Amino acid sequence: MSTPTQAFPALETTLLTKRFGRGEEVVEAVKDVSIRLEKGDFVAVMGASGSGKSTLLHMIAGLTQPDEGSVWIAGSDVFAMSDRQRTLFRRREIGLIFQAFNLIPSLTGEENIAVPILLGSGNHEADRVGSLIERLGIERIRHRRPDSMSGGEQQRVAIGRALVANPALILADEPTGSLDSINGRKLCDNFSRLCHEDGAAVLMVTHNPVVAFYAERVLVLHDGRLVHKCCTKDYRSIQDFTCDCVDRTKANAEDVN
Amino acid sequence: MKGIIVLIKLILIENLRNRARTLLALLGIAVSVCLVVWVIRGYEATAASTQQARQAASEQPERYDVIVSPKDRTKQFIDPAFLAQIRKDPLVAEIDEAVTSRIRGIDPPIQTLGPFGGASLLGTAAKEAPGELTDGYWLSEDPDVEEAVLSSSFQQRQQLWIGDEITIGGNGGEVTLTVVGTVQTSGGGPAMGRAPMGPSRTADICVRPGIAGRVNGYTDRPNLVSIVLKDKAAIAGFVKTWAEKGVDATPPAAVRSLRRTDSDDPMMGGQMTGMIRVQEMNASFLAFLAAAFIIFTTLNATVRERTRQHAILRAVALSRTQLVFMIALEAILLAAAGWALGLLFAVVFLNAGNSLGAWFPAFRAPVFASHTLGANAVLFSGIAALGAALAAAILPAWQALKVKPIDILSRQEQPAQRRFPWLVVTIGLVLIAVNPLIVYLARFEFVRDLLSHIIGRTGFSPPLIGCVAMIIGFAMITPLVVRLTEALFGPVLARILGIDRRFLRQQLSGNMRRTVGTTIALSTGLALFVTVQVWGYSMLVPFTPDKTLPRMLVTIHPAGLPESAVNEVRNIPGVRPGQCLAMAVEQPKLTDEMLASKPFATVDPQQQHVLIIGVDPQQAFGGSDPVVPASFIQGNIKDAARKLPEGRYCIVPDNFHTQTGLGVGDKFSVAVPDKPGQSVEYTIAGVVAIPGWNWFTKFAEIRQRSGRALALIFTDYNQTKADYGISRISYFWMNTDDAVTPQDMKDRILPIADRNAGVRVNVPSVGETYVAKQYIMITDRFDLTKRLMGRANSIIWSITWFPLIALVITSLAVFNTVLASVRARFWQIGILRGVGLTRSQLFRMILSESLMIFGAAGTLSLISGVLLAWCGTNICTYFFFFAGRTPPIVLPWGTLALGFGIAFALCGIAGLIPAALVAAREPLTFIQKGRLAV
Repeated sequence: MSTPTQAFPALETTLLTKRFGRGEEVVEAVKDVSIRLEKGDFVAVMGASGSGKSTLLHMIAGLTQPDEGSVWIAGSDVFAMSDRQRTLFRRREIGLIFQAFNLIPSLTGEENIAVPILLGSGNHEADRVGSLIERLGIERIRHRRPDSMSGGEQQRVAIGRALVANPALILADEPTGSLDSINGRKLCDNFSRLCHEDGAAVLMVTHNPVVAFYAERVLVLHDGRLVHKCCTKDYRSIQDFTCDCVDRTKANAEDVN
Repeated sequence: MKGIIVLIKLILIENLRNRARTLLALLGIAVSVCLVVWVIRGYEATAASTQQARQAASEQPERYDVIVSPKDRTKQFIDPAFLAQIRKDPLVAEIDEAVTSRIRGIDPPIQTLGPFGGASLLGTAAKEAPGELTDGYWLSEDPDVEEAVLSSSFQQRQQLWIGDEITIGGNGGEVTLTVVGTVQTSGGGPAMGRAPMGPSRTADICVRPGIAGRVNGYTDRPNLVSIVLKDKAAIAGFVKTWAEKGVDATPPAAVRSLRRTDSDDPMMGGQMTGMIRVQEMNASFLAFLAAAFIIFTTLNATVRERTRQHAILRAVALSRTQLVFMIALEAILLAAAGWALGLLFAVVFLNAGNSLGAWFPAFRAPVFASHTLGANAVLFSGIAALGAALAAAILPAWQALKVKPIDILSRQEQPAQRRFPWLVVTIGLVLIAVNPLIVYLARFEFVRDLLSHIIGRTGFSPPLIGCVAMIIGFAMITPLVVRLTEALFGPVLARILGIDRRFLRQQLSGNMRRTVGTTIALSTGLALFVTVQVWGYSMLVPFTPDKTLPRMLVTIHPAGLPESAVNEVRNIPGVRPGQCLAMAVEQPKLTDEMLASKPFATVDPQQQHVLIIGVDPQQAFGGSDPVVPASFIQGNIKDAARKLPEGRYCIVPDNFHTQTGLGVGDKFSVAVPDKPGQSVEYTIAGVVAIPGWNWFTKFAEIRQRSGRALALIFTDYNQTKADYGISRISYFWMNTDDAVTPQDMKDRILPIADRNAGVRVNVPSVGETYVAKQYIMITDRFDLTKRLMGRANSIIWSITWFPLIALVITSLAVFNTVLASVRARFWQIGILRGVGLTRSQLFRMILSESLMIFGAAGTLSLISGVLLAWCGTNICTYFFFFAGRTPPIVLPWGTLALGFGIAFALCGIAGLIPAALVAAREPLTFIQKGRLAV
């Protein structure tokens, strides 16, 4: 089922396709998307609402079965596994961050970070959790429950949870969506730094060009198809990048129309 | 109108979208409605059948208009001078004198109806049958003819037919008779209650006076005189006149009418029907409450998840009034649909039961006799359904009014946890303490007097109010019980289920309101089950004989044995050496001075006699192996055994001590029977606990002067014989070898008894009688205990069915709660599945909620049930006729385990199904659905 992870890309999808509906009402939410992330890559997926970003993310995370195509993470074919194997794999190799309400209300900050470990052997790897708490700067809230944390603090805890198992891949679905711009930027800084330090590949879904600019590469989806790829370092400023993204999105919309 | 249609459409869409939730709600309402209908119909049917039976009984043809009988049942004859006066009354058309007695059939054996055994015999010279002859003919005029006419009920019971022979035996001897006819009766056997019954209803077997004399040993003592009057209109006046004169007869005589319009005792019939009605109201009220509560919790389970939906509707379309109206309308529609469904279930159930009655005895209960539901059942079930549904709608309606749409619709942090309701819990604890406080204080006489005064003046019973307060109190402390269960039971359950305990930390308190509602719902049935079981079995303890009393009580009637034959009984093989007590027994009444004194002020008028048991004190209480190893509550065995032979000292039972307050050193006196003016004064030397003496002495026919006795009092054998003129011994209490059976002992004693018959003796209530043959009765402690427990089990379990059914219904609330809980946590479940929660772990997590609800409900039910039972048993001691006994608390662990096992299984199933359904779903389903909710 799996082979030594170092020899393989962190993520590789091949012609990934997902359809919803039946008969005449079939909609192709994602169509023939092939992407590849190496270890340490930070890639953003952009697109308008309904472009298939979240669906793509869910398939990569193994949360839903694609209709066509494959997903390989760290050399393992995710959909060749049974549901249980896939769940355990996800626990070890994938870190998931959602837009909001990531945390379990009854657990403290520290316990929320340790959830993947608690679900597994249960042996609390205190060093790893403690180190993450320190690196994320959330010492103050380690023993607090989510209802007494700010949105930014909750997201940092979510990042900690995503990293605690030392995964090969981090998947983030609009991680700054419920934050204000200052906290959003702080989060992205943290995110970027930590992922780089731990060597995890990151695939982040966002509709916000400012957030996407933190990534090294950006993929643009439109109507489920991958319509554009670019490197953020090719742009002189974020404004250029933003304008280009907007233009590309408009152009694709017009082509379709 | 258009607006209402739109609202109805919205309601229908919402309920169709959540079919499972709607179906559960409808099912919960329907089953609750069915329960209310079942209870009300059951009692109505019982009351109706009782009424019909009374009607049938009162419409039985009766030849006679008036009967005369002794006023005092201890006197078994009518004053001849009084009878002579009645005969002279010009209104009298016909007067028939008869003797009624109880006899023991020998062949075929008489199937007894009650504890008294035997059958009733009527020796009559009447020319015509007392009622309608259904078969054969009336007795020939010859007073010694060996014929018998049977009552129809006796004939059916014994399966005897015209021409069959029956051998009957009594004090005087045996006679073999030929059955020549049957008389229609309503029931036969002894007269029931206080309503007067004529000969047609009192006699199982009618014979001529000569035959009765041979069997009874006496002939010239009529104790039942039946009169036909010339003018039926004058019955009331005749009865009034002669009843007044009867008081002065020697002994006093009672004169009563037998005609329905005059003699129908409204008190008797009304009492019976009234009792049934009271029970019906209580049970119906309980059913109503249970149903209402179940419906309330079922509909209320989804309150929180609907708040956001209602807020959206407020934001985009509806006014406050429209929203409240919509919520109320949904409740009404669900209630109406559930009510209709419930009535349908009830009709199907009753009809099915009616059909099954042919094969299964359980379905022959009165409730299945009728196919119809009855107006009361329909009305009350409707009120329960509608009332509860509207009550369930109040909270969401209030929340919908209170919440601003903007607060819900804007993105917000996770809501802060509600504060723990410490004030409510504290008040609850105070309310719980009310009844135990009353029980504690009731041991003081001035408190008892005060409480009795309050009950007498106001009709309100403080202990009953205390019970209600306790029930409310327990409901109020449910949040505390939930928290404690979560804290203590959660980690254990987590370990068993293989989940990290931290995931169960707020499994229940995460939505305290929903959990509390479900816990209380489940506890309704379970707590009632515990209360009934603990209370029932605890109350039995003082009445269940144990090793304190010897194994076999031997009764040799009617003549007993002379002193010279007593040792023969002691030496019978099988009787353990030194373990046979000869008893000199009398049942004197307390003197009038005693009855008027304070200690005896609360004694029931029917319990003014005491049983004096004269025994050898050393043999009974002394030595290393006393025959009566009773534990002393006051005094000690040495002093008591020493004092009794010194004179008129006695040992009294605990109930006597509790009821009268008399203890060691105190005195009381009794009147010597049949010797007016003579009394005996006793000094108490000890107080003992001898549970079960009541049933022992009741079945052993040791109470010869009165059916009831206040106490069984041990005195010295020789002193007692001298005080009451006892020359022959009719009772022995003995311990035997284990292998000896009652029949063995009977066979061994009978020859001794018969050798000592053929004498004239003074039989209490009868007088001087020649005894040709004796009969032996053995009351065995093992058999007695078995019968008692069998009957008790039957009664207790007949009450237990209701809480068990309530338990089954309320498990629906658990099911609904788990579903609602899962729906409320879809997003959370999605996250957990996303970060690596397996299906199996999810299944176990969801299941844990229902099991923890069981834990909370079980804890609450056990504590509340035991405490309620404890308060109940203690209150009975002081405020109700329980003969002064304080029963210990008995926890019948076996049956409790059964009840809790059923509750556990129901909760398990209620959790298993949603857990399985949810675990089977894809993780993305939760994320998508949860996103909609969040």
